[in-house]
Amino acid sequence: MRIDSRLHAVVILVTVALTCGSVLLSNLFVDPFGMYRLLETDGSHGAKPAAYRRVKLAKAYDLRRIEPQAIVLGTSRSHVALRMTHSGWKVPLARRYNAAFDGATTKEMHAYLLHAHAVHPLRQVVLGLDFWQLGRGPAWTRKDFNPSILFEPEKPLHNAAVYATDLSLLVSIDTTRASITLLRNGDSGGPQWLAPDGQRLGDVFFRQVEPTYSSSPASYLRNIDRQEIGFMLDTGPAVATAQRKLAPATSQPVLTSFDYIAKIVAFCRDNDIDLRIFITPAHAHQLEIAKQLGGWPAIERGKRDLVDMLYRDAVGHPGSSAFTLYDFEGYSSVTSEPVPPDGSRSEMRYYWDSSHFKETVGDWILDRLFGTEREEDPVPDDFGVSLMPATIEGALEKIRADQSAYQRDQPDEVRFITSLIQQIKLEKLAAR
Amino acid sequence: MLFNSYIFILVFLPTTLFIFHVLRTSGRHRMATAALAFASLVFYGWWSLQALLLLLILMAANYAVVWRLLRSAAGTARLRLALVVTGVAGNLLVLGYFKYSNFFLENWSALSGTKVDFVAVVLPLGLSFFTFQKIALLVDAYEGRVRHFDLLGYILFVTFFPQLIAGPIVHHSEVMPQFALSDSMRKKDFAQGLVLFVIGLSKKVLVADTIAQFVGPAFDAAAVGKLPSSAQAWTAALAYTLQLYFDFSGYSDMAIGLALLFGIRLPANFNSPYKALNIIEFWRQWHMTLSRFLRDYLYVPLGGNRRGEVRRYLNLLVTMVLGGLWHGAAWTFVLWGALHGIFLAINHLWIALRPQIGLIGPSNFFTRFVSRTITFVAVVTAWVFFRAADLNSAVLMLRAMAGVGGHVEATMDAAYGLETITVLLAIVWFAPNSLELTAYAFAKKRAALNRIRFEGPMSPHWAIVCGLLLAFCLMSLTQVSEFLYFQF
Repeated sequence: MRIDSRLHAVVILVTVALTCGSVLLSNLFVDPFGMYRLLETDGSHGAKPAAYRRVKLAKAYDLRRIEPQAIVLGTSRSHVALRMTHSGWKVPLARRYNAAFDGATTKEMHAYLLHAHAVHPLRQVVLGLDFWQLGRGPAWTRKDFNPSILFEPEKPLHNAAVYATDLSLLVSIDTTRASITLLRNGDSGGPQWLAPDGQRLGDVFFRQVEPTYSSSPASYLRNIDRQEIGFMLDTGPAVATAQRKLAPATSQPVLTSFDYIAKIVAFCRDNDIDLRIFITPAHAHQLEIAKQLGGWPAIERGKRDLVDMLYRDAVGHPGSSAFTLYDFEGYSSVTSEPVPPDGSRSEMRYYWDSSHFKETVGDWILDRLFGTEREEDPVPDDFGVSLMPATIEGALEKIRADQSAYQRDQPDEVRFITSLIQQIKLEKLAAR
Repeated sequence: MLFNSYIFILVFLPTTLFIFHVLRTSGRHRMATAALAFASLVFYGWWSLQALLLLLILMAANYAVVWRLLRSAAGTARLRLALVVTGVAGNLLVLGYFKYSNFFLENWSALSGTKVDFVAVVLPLGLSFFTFQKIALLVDAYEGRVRHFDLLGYILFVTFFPQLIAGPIVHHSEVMPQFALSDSMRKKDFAQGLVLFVIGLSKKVLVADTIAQFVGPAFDAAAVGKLPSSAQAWTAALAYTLQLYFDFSGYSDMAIGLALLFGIRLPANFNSPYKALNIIEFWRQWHMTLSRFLRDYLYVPLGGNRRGEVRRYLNLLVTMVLGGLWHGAAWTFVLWGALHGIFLAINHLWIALRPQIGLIGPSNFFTRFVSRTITFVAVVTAWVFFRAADLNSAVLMLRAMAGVGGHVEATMDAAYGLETITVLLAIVWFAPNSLELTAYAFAKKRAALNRIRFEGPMSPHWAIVCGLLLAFCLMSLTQVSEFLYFQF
């Protein structure tokens, strides 16, 4: 049977519309990535296992739905350890959100800051920086970063395109597959480690999701050391290049990683947002790795640059409070916590591994940043130092002295890292 | 703007079609042509305004030369020769600057041992294609073969968006007469065009992009000096062979389909090339418009087969090496072209030798099977150079394919890869191609497809299948990336 050309086109278009329309509506209601949560009107927060692999996507939509006034920006360290229930936050509990995510780059953090502020004006931001983000290497984003799902203040055309992206995500094959999986398996996708307020729950994640952690936290930590060394050897030790260590860059490098920190600071200043910055407390193992791989001068340079930039900002805005900067990266009773012997099943008190610290430490960081005091759990005196032009050189000098002391007092740990570096170098050489 | 993007499929194409057909059916043909040319400029400028400016400058310069050539038909031979040489050289210089300057500098630096700063240039999309089209027009104007030439038609010939970026490389005599529009177009064309576009889009989005995952691992490993296993190398080489075919022939189908939506018939570009029984046949069926261009504007002017066998083989080699270099500025492309030049020479030599060694007579299933297998393996082997990051990694891949394989970490499901490759090979070897299916071309091969031909594109079943395919393509255009990394 032959049909008229016009009818032929209509049949095609109607088929497309019906197929895409039904897929879109199904995905909207099944909502496998937790983008809309239309059916959770009672405030429940059903598990969406597929979202665990798409945290950036889920967080972009959480920010749209929750419209927070206070957020955390940072990497997995802040994602795991900073509680939004801390008493220092100035906004209601329901309007706080931990927008940190794994491997966040400063360019991505800046985009999420703009997105959150475009959704609802922010009042408070806590920014957690890892030392590799202070570098002068080109800014970049990871391959799963999607700027087309993020709003930007005062960009109506771009923001209209965001809604178009919503539709394309809802009709996508990936979303459809995830919907089918969710319908087939229910929400029994394993332990639920992503909290409604955006925090990654370390208790659940490390103890229930990471099998190697449960069998031996100490071995897990050493494995993280090994990964860190591998990444740094692949990309060079300097902080300036350390940001290349993960996924390849997906965008044209224009500004540096540090430039995006400056943009975050400027944005918060322009929009009267209370910004508090801290440098994350990696365990002494990580500091020793950076030191042995020759990255220490770049770390110090990054800290000096940051202090200088914040000082210039404060001088340029005499009527406003200077933004707070705390450095927790030095050697302290927290960061120098002894590591149990390899194979031990004992957990560390402060760390999940040499990169990720626990909520206890996160609470102390927020205590320092917000100036809160909790009598039942005071911050150790040696944990964290406020960095300002007057204190920076003294602080850096003290860390250098503490580093020498650590190397002297912990020869086994230092030897372990030295031999691990040699071993990985040889492995890489053999692989070539 | 890409054919496989939402902005093109949902906004640009419907808007352009609507405006064009409203103007055309209301009798305003020149306005319809102008609107189509303007839309084509928007299509190109969407990618880069600087590239659009270059396109406009080249278009104006070539128009001036062709116009002068046509006006000086009775003029002196010397002036005409100077005009065509200037025009061709100018086009080649622009192409050379944008495409080959860094390749030249890199090799100069390596040969001379001096450090050379590279030129910061971005190759404008489609420059290689529209340079060839303009050269053909210049040469034909010089030789008095241009009959239809007016400004608006010329602008559309140069910019016509369906074929602007990646061909088919059209000859002015094929399309410029068609730009003199009539009030109505054949209704069948619209349906046929829509079906072809959807088939092409499906080939690109659903097949080529899917099989691409099996290409990367082995080639990427070889690029960093690792030796893949034989199975990995063969999987990658076969997957790339299929990816390239479905990607490029899909693009050509889309281009032909889109042109048909405006009532313009473009030349066929692929005719089941992997069914070819020899390399000569392969090049008559793969990127047919490029082969035609290379034959008419390079091989024949070089002397073709008119100056003896040795010169013929040399001409073939030169043509194919330059054809390889046209595909990309790298030694891998040069070597790919050289390999095909050698294959063609061997093929011609074999044809000449066969009667002398008594190998004459009709072909049978066995001889066809052997011929097709040899041809296919030769093509796959050459594609390794086309895809490899450099000559070293190409050699590593070939070593692995020859059985001297190592092993790299598997990042894909090998069984799924094998199944996919098997199914796709069956399609390219045994199924009719999209132009046969839609009765667009290759009438002689259509005898067995009569029922499909007559009811094909216009049947409701085809319409529903196309609708579903288009829906799946639209659903596949957006990917929701996963990220599994918890350490930083």
